[in-house]
Amino acid sequence: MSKIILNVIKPEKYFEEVSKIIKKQSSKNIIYITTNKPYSFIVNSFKKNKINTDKIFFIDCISKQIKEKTNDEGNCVFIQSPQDLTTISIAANEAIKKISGNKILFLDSLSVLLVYNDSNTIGKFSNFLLNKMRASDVDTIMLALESDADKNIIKQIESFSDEVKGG
Amino acid sequence: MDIINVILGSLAAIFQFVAAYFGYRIYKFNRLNKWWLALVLAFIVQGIRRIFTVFEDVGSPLIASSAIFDRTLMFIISLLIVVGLWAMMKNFENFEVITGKISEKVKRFKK
Repeated sequence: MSKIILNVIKPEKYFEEVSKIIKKQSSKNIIYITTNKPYSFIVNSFKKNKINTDKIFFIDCISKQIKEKTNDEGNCVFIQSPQDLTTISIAANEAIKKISGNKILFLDSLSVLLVYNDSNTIGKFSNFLLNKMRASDVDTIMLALESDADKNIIKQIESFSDEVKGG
Repeated sequence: MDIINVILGSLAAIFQFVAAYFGYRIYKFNRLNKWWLALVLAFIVQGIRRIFTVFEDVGSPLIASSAIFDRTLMFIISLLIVVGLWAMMKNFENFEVITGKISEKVKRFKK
């Protein structure tokens, strides 16, 4: 049975925590939705930390938003903006359907999505996405900043999750 | 005054505004593209045009609708529908592109 985990993390330890989670899940195929940092930055940081990125498929929602140059990178599709939630859902679903084997969805992060969208919309998006992942029997890990932990919407998403870590 | 014309015209106006409301609800649900609101606006203008027609049917002197005014409303409605649907088409094209790109990249990813 699939598991949904919400990780509430401190901003200063953000990337350290991300690296730890990804290292721990490295035996699986990871579908990494990034709204926080561009694909190029994440890949370079992972390489420095000796994390293999061959089994990570990226859905980058931030590079185009910040007008960073986006080449036709191997393991990555670029979405126009973190506001484009319908396209993000379609991309996540397609990736889940097409990537075979043991896999996990990693969403980095709810806090950034809340910067670009209103909380009501993020509530509906999270509920839809998480239920889709449950139906597809795919584990999901979401991140949120500790500073957002008191927000009603994060509390609501906690209720959709099976486990809440940190915070 | 034909009462049937007035009833049908009034119902058409009401349904037009209900359609505008549903159009707005669709926008609120998925927020695909702000230009979708052009279609909502088209429904509202269409509703207004229907109200003018009802006024004409009851012979109200308040609304002296001229042919040029009516054609202008028709033009605005058509233009708004084209803009709204064009923007939505762009969105759907984008969905198609993303789906295709994922299929292509997952093939490479598996290798």
